[in-house]
Amino acid sequence: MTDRPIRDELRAVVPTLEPDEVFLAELSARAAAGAVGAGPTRGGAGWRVALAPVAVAAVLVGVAWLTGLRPDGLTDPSPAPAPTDATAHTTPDPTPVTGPPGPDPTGAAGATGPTAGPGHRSAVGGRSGAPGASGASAGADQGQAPAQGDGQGNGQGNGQGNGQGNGQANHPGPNGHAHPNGHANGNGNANGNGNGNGNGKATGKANGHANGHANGHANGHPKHPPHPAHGPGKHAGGHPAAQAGQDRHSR
Amino acid sequence: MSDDDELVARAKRGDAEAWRALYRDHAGRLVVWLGTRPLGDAAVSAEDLAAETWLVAAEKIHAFHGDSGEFAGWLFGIARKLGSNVHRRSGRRRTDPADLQHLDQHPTIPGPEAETAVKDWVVRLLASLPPRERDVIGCREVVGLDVEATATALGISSVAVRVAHHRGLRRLAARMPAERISADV
Repeated sequence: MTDRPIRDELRAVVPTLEPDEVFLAELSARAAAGAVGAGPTRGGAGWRVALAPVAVAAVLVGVAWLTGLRPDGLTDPSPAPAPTDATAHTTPDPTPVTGPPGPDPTGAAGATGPTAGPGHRSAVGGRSGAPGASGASAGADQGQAPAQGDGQGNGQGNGQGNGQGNGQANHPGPNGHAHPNGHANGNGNANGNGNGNGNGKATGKANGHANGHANGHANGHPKHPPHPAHGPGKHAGGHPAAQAGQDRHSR
Repeated sequence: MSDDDELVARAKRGDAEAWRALYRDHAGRLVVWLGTRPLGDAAVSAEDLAAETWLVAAEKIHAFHGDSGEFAGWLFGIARKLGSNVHRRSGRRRTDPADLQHLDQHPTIPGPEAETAVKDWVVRLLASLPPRERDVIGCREVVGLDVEATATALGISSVAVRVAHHRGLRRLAARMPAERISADV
């Protein structure tokens, strides 16, 4: 109890303060307003409780819907190496390749990569041209693909795409090589996130949907035959502009 | 918390007399307690903060459940949070106090602070304590809140209040004589 003198010294003389009338009226008004506003607040809480499971269900439905868009090619999620040269039929090269100057001056090689037909989840490597690839593909792709490209249709596309499409390989050619004069006809919708880069070297991300029909003839030299593992209908043949021109790119 | 007593229930309905009674019971010691705490902003006084505390309490009284004794702890808790806001705000917007020499040139009206305020040496003594011990001593010893109300006001447990109270008193016992001597001189 040696603290008692200290405690007595610390104790302050607490005054009894009288409130100002205006201040008191303000307090009363605020309290009354709070009491009135408390009712709707409880109703709003009920709304929020009901809204939470609805929002969760909406998200789940959306995810399920997006999952349903994926084709059966989900079993091959690995990036598909791109062929680099017409002479190298069996060695995939993920590095950017330089193909022939294509008819697509915009060089939307990255965009055409993810939209290159069914089964492609990700495309790493060049998507330059590849005229004469067997089978035109039209598909719905979704994904993101940062890409680099130059104005000559050479590019590097890294991306992931989920595609659905029906491609038909009219002329697969021997050993999985594209026929030089193959016709690539295909119809489909391509939904996806593509990356398109313009002239010059550019690196960027383009997320968007590519909806369109890929109808074209693939007439040309088999500079970039399809990889044997892909089989016919994997690569989008024909004119790259046929697809890239109908793709919507957002950078 | 227990059910509302009659005074709190009337205050929730906006009864002015209930608010007057609550104000008489708690306003004085709220100002005194805020005077023992450093606010950090010279432009904000304990009275300003106490008035703001009352306004916030009036807005949120419908969320409070308890009797008029528990109302003190709840009210002091609002004041503590508002004081923390002032302290944080003072870090961003510093307010420099005026020079005391220039203040002498302006006429001043003496207020009741000299009678109600805590002794200066007590404020200095409390300022030397750690923040929690300072707040607990201020609530328990300076304005006379009980343990439960102090715990509610400071947002800590009753055990923590008792521990901090004990440690604070021990620290004060060691420092008090020097403060008293310097104050008397």
